Amino acid sequence: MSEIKLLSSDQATITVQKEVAERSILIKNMLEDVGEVTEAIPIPNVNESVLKKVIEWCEHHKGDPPAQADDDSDSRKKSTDIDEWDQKFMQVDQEMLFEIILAANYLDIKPLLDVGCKTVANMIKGKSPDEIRKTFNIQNDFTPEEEEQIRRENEWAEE
Amino acid sequence: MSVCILSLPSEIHLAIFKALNGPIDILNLSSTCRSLRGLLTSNTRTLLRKAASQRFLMFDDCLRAARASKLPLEWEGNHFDLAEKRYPTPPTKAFCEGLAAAPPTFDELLAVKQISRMLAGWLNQFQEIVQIEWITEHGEESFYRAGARYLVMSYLFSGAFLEPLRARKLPDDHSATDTDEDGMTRFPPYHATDPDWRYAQLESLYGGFIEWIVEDGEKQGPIKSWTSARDSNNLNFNPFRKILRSLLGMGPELKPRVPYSGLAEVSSLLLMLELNTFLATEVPCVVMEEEEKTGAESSEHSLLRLCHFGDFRPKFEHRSNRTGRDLVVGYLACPGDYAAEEFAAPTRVLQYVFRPPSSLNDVEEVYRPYMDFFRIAFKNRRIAFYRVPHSRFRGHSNFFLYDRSTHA
Repeated sequence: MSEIKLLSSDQATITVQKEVAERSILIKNMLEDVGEVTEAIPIPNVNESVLKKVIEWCEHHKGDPPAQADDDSDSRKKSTDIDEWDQKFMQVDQEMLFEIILAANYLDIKPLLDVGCKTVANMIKGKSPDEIRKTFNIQNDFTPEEEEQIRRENEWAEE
Repeated sequence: MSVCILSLPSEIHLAIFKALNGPIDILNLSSTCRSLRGLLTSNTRTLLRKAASQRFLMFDDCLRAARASKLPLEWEGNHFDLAEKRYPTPPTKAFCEGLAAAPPTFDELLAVKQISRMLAGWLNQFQEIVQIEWITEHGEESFYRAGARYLVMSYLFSGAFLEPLRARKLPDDHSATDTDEDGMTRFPPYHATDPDWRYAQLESLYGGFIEWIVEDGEKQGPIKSWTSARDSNNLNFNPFRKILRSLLGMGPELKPRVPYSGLAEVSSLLLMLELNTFLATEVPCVVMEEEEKTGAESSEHSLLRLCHFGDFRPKFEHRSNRTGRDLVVGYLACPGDYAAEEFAAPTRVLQYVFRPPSSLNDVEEVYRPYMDFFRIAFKNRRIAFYRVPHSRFRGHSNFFLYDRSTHA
């Protein structure tokens, strides 16, 4: 089985099966364009630890069917619908979680990006704005007047 | 440099928003800081509409109703032209569809909330009064859709209340008793027995709107839970049934094949909304009952007497500071000797569904959308409702303009 090399932003070279690497649409398209490559493909936006984590996910999901096109109609079940393995995979600190999301976005691995966003969504679910701020260390930059306006604007959603 | 949630690009923030399940979560996230709030307000089409669709049953139809309620009173489509006997510019199908095209604003969402609460109240009352306990989840959506579109119709055609005044006669109908004062003929197209004629009349009256309602209703197809669960021998018990069937998208019932009594209930529903309008303003409503004619002793103008209706107080007029004219509202309840059950149901609906708000809070939150409608009605002035006791349209409400000053 053919292998390729990936070069992380911190200059670490990681060897990975081509089939696994091609979970990334970015790499897949690149390989289709340039054909056989012997040198390591630079992945300048992703460091070694994150790249290894992404490759771990790609290896586990290498046999998965291709991602479906966006379908908003089933969006209701999206956030609660995380595979058990993926849930464990995403049990990382926040910085790593966001790094994985960024890497998935850069490498164009939509299913991984979805899992990352769902994980963040589940961390938000049921929390008040204050609790969300605490969870993600967000600074409240609203003035009291703006907060009052937002409260009014949000009234429609209350039961 | 460490990565935090705010350092993610906005496309990922959007993806996170989209992964959230409910409107509360979406709003809570957007309420944490300016940048996330800005993302919500600059993506109303994708985020706010989605959140609202999760919050409200049949959101698009409710949004149409909310927007229709805000059309300027001066909008000429609002008013039936009595001289021309038509609506000058009935809205087109595209116009009706387009009412829900733009993403909602926060103000509109509040209006949608009020409309949705109103529809929920209607549904509860219908279930209670006519025992529609078999209504399914799908049926509930249909009911909301019907109710919201009914409101759209009411807002687009304030003159619909004048519609029975159209000087049109049914073909081959020689019922002279229905030509009455003002030289007008009380023949709502709803009552016509000839379905083709009736549809042609409705089309000429409501233009593309009727096309929108009928065609869209036909697309919905029959809802089995509504057709099979009811005792077929008792179809006439619930006079709202047929209009519900029509409005609930149960097929082309609005066009043909419905006895006149079915579509006559459109007028009952219009009346219900109208009454509700006035309740919203806390103007007490009265019943204006037409006494039975007793041959030569009767004169047209002595037939009207006032009686109380339900819990409403007998005050029945509202003076406008602007125009200095009174508004008279009335409803001809079923006469005492008329015990047909078919009329009992709408009477009870009127009593219970449109009972006065129990608190100021209710007025503001539930009935506010109808304030505009009140103004429209007021602009038309002196609207009265009555029923003709000996009409073959027994049990159904007709209504007409009533200039109280000339009848007092």
